[in-house]
Amino acid sequence: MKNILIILVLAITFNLTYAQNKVGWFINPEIGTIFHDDHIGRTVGASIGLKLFNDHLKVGIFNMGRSGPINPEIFTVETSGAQLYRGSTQLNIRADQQAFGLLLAPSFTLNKVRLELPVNIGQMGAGFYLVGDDRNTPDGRRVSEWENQLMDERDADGGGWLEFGLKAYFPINDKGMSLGTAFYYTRVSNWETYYDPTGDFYNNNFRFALSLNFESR
Amino acid sequence: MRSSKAFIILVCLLISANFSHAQSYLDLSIGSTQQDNFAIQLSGRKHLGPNFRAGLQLQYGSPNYRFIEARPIQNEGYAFLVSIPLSFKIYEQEEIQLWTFLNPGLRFQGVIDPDENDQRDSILNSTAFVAEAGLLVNISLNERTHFLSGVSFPLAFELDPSNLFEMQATLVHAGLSVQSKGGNTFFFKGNMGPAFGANGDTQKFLWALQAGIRFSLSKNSSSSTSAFIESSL
Repeated sequence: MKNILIILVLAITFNLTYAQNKVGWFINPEIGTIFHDDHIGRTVGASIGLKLFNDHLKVGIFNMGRSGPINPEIFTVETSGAQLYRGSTQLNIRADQQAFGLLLAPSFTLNKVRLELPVNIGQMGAGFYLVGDDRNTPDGRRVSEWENQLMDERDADGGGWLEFGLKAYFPINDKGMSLGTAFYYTRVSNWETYYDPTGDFYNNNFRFALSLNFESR
Repeated sequence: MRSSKAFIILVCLLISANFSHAQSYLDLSIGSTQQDNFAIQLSGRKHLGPNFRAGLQLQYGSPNYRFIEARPIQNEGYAFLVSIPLSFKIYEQEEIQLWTFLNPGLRFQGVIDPDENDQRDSILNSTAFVAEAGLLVNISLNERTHFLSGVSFPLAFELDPSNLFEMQATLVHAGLSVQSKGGNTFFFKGNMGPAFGANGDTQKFLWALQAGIRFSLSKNSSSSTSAFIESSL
């Protein structure tokens, strides 16, 4: 990560010093879907950053999340050690996720359509949580304490996040607005939970995103 | 507690500031959010330079789903926010503007009769530092209509009764503002995004819808500049 930051600083410095190109900016709010094995996950996110080398390289940060409240799918799992929670050893849980990191995107224009090859690299935090009335704990303890206990301290975990794909921007007007569509392939590393000890819930998935892009001209 | 009083005094001083000079606005809005069934907001803003404006924002909300010590309060109590929105225009070219903003403040919320014994013999209060930073784009669609979008990163840190990182979120924004011939501006906007905090005990997703009117307190306010509506709610 440190080496990547050094390279970025050098690239920006080179761009400003020698390339004599102005530095531009972009803001890219997006909604998307993750194609899980047996359902579709809804995501909301955004990326912001700078355009370098005559708009041929975007450097920025990305942040996206597959929030539980907009993803009603319920997963079931037996409690660790067959503990009783509100009269049952079976938990009904939802999935919740956020990823954050660095965005690098070489880009070029083809027939007014801007094409990019984005790479998102960073960290992900994700887990499974109790929903509905189950969030009212029987003893007044915080629900996260119960989730830890019932899922063997592995209700959530952090891991590495790597995405790469293809993104196309279709201009809406001449004011710096365009419509973006993106298709990503996602790899997740070192993430495992009680519900998903294989760590495959987010790994090896495809993601589609639709965005509005705003940028300097 | 002493810092809270100092903050309130500072806020009162800002209230007493003269908003009637050039490039001053008064915003009145109402909305509904994940956190509040309804919220009313009043804010005054004033340009302190061609690319910088500051103000004072007051908000009262009737909670829908909020937290004290990471435990939920639902459909009861109150939430009052006071903040100082600071906005900086960092880019402008023809019909597009890029603004960055910071909106730090304090939030006071509570529940009367938390033990539900039908006697107002106890109050559960909390005080939190709240702040939101972000980037917003303001695009002129025509002379009187502007489109707003962008990204912001709100956070909340509970100071009392416990020290607790309550929440951070990433919100995407969309909005529209329409300026009347009289110079006032009507706006409608919304935001949504994932949230996380307190080991997952608090908000997991935020959304907000808001409608309001901006009264221009000056005769010569710039149309495109006054049409930029700050993030709030």
